Amino acid sequence: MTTHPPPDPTPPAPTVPRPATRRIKIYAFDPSTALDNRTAGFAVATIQIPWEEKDVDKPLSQGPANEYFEVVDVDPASGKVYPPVDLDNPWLLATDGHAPSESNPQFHQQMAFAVAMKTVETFETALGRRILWAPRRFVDDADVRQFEMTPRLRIYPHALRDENAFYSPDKMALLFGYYQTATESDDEVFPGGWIFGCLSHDIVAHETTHAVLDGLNRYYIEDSNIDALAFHEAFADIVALLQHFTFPEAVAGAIAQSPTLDVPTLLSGMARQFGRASNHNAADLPPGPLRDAMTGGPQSNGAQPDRSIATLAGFTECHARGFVLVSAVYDAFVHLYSGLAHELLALTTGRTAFDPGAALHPAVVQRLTNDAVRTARRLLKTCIRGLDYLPPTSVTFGDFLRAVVTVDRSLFPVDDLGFRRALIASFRRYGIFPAGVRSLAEDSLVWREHVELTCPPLKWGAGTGSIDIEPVTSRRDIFEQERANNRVLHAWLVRLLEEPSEYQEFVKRTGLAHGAAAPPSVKRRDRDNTGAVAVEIHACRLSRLTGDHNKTQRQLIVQVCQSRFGYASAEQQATVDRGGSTPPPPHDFSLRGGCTLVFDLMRLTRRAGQAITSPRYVIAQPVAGPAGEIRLGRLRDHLFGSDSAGAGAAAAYQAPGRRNAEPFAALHRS
Amino acid sequence: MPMPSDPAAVPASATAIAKVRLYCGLLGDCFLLEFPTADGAPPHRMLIDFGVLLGMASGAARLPAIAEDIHCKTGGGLDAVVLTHRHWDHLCGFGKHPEFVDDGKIGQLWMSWIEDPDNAAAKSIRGVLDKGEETLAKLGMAVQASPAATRSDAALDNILDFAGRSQAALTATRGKSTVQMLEDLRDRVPPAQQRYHKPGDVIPLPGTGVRVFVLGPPTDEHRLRQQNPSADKHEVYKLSDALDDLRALPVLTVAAAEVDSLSSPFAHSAGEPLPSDAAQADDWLKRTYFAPGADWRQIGDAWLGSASDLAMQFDSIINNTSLVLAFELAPKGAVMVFAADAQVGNWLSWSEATWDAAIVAEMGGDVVKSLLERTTFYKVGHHGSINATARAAGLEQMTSGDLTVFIPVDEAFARQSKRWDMPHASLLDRLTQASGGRVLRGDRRPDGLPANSRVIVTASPDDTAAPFYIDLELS
Repeated sequence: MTTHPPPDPTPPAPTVPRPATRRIKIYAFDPSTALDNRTAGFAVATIQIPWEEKDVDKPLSQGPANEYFEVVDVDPASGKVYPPVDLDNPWLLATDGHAPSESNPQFHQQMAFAVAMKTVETFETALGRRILWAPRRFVDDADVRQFEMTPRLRIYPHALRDENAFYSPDKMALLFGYYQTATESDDEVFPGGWIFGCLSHDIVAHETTHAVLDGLNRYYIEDSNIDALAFHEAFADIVALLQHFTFPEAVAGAIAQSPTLDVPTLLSGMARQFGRASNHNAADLPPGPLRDAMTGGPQSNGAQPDRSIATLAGFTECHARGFVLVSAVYDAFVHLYSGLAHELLALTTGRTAFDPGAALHPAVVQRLTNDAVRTARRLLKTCIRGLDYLPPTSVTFGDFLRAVVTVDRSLFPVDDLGFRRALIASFRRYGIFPAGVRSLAEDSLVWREHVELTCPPLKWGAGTGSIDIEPVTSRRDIFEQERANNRVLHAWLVRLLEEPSEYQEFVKRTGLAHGAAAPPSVKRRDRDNTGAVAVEIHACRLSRLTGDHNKTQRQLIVQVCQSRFGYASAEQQATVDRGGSTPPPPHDFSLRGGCTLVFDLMRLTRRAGQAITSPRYVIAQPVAGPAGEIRLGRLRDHLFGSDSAGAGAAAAYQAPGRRNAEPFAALHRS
Repeated sequence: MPMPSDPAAVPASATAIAKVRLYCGLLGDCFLLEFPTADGAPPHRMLIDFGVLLGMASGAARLPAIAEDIHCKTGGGLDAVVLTHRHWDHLCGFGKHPEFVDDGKIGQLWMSWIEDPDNAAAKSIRGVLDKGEETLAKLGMAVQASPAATRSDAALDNILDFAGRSQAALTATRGKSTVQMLEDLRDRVPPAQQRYHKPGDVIPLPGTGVRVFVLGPPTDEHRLRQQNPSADKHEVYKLSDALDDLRALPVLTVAAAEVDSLSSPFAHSAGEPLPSDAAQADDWLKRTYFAPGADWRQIGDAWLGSASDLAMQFDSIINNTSLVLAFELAPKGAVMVFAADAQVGNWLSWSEATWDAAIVAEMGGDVVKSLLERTTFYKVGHHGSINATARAAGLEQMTSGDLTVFIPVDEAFARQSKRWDMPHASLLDRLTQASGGRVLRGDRRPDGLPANSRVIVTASPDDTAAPFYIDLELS
């Protein structure tokens, strides 16, 4: 709301520039830091989110509500509804919103909203495009499947009386819980006090990240390999942790205590207050944050940090496994940053180690803070950009490393800051090894780059049957553009798979199952499952990124999916694949796969309306052929093997691995 | 009725034939078994469970007639009453219609080792179960008293119903809970005639040639907790952790709300009462929470999620305490398996039981395999639910070729009133295949099913969709 002074004809009114951002106060971590003498100085942060005008089309500015979110603060457990905060209230505009408070529900609304917006901004900056929430899929009254844009994700700051918070894909909402602490006392947790999930920066950022990831790919929440769910969790933690470094005062505070940041700090812990209070309730866990990237688990208070590295091979449980990935990324950060810190130390003191007793000169702290902030920002960007280079389904941590290295190298051909080296080294230290590469050298890890891989012509530009690559700005237009491009690409692929003729090489690279050679258990387009193989386009996104040497990238990322019916018994699978039963009997699970195609739009050869290109990267994840059979066998073992979580289900007549109603509710409760 | 001490000493002469009356129209279990004796004395009669799910009026209406029929068929005396586990739908008939048997005419009462008053391990498990029931009952009352617009959670109601602690249950039995009814039944049988069975027990039925093999419930806590599919921690933690879960159940603070204003997250002046529907809502709520077409985003009872999860956990543990019996009608002859409500963990534990060496030798080394291979009648576990018939460890081993199965279910009631997936489609498909189409159900007349000479099926001559009973004759 731009409040102009009342019109006064005599002196010409000075023009008031439109503000670029709106300032909102939040707890940088959570309320516990505000009561601690050591941290009170940076307990509150003021963050800036893009300024949005009050719009006649969007009468919901109260909530807060904007283009991305709507906060609806109903609290069924207490039978209450808390009136929505109006951030355009002039008094609140003057004070950067409500002052941080545990007892003011309007501040809770403001903080959940602001942190969620900040997280969205983190993603949009890194990806070079606007993010969309997962569309709502439902069957309407006429029994027709519908697919509808979800403009706003809903935020319920007080949805649950529970030590839980989750993203609900069914309600397209973030549900935050609150609970009362145990009555025994603790030095940090107020006995009988209330703990609110929505007042924890980490919890809000974590849940928002789940929603963003689900919008990028809805198959990432399937339990499709040992890493898949763990990846979702880990990525949400990585975003929350690295976002700590956007609060310079807190970073400076931590650096003043530990210049090289190689011990557990406020920055490396996830959800400190929530974790402390709930660990206290659980009695047998040490008090500390939910998880700490420097110790790999709940941090014990004051104890020597455990830096013995737990490698991936030792863990199968989802959170534990996920936290190995988080620790590896955080480890890369510490290495990159402490390298810079030691450099500065040598320059300023001539010594090679920090003197633990001596206070640092404020200018040194300032420099170190800048280094830490820049390093964390760049690392988080790199991780997020890797998301576009992942296979379309069932991600493994190894895939993630390859994707990150590939995207970083394409933007920054020379690794002069050592980001890729640090990431590879940390992943190796934590035992995260990609499958199917010859070494951990950078050039072995990058996805194979294709220069001349001929694929059937795609028309680019305006007009029907062409792929529209004009930049559009509104998220509604982006949604419609993607939907239209989907159709074009789908028709193109279907034609290609039916008649690969001169493009055999390309089809082979994609690994897509096609033609009569595809096993009968591969999902077909018809009900009897005898016709042409089904393909779905799950994403076609335009991105624009800038790297070193003014290396601008414009790319079209296309994710193609196929499914294959899987059976708990390998014999039954073999019978079906011999063509033994048509249509195939009801399947026990689905193997998904396909390929990710990355088209480089900067390499479009310009011939009016007839521009031709071929994909630069083809990341294949076959459902059939030798690689597909291996994937199928692994997934069967994962779901039905004796050690698997699904073993109980597999023992009865139930197909595990299906998406349940609230996939994240149970995941977070455990 | 004294028991022979050596379980392997079986009179091999008897030509065992069994008659089974399966009472129908119930979402619940009730089976009357008759085994003729060799010397022409009255047959050996057993009753396995007598109950119907709370709230199923049509089933409850059948109970008096069932009690009368049992009394009439048995002359008021039973050689044994089997109570498989402490759930309403398996025992409410015992409490509400004690006239099914004359006083002092129950030869033996069979229950699982978990109900054994003298077993220390059982005591500790019962302690957890009692505590859980108590807590969940309190929770139920707190929920009923809470101001929330949507205060009822189906899953929670279900557990309260099972435990017999909901308002409806207390009214139905004039204040008696499931456990109290269990105690009442126990009081009718002198302690010397109470039998608490554990896996590995083999009980010959005197004079009949029939041996009963006890397969479940497991003696391993891990198995008791293993219900299904999920990767949640409750599968790997110990049973005693369930108590921690109860303590941590934050929703219990609601109960204290009446007396303690600190048990609400904000001062009472914060916020307005949440209206129950759009009609009473203000403009802002009408445009958001109660917006037309946006009801799919409401969160109503999501806050009860963890409580109802816990309720389901307890429900499942109790199902896993089911006494599972295999009746071998003659040495190397046909077998009937009554799986009660055993869930996955119970099934998987069968092969872990320790059997008498002579029995193992007689059965060719694998007792459970031998029994399952000869099974010609299987009472389907837990009304045909998704996780109560083991695949590899169960049904896939029932390969006799003469299999007939019975599902004590009322599908319409289960689906419409309870939204339960019973019988589960893929299980039903497999049961149909494995039995060659001989699937009997509590909600259908068994007309037009393929005949089988080893299991002869006749239904009561009535004209209701669900017959009063289905009779089986097995040889």
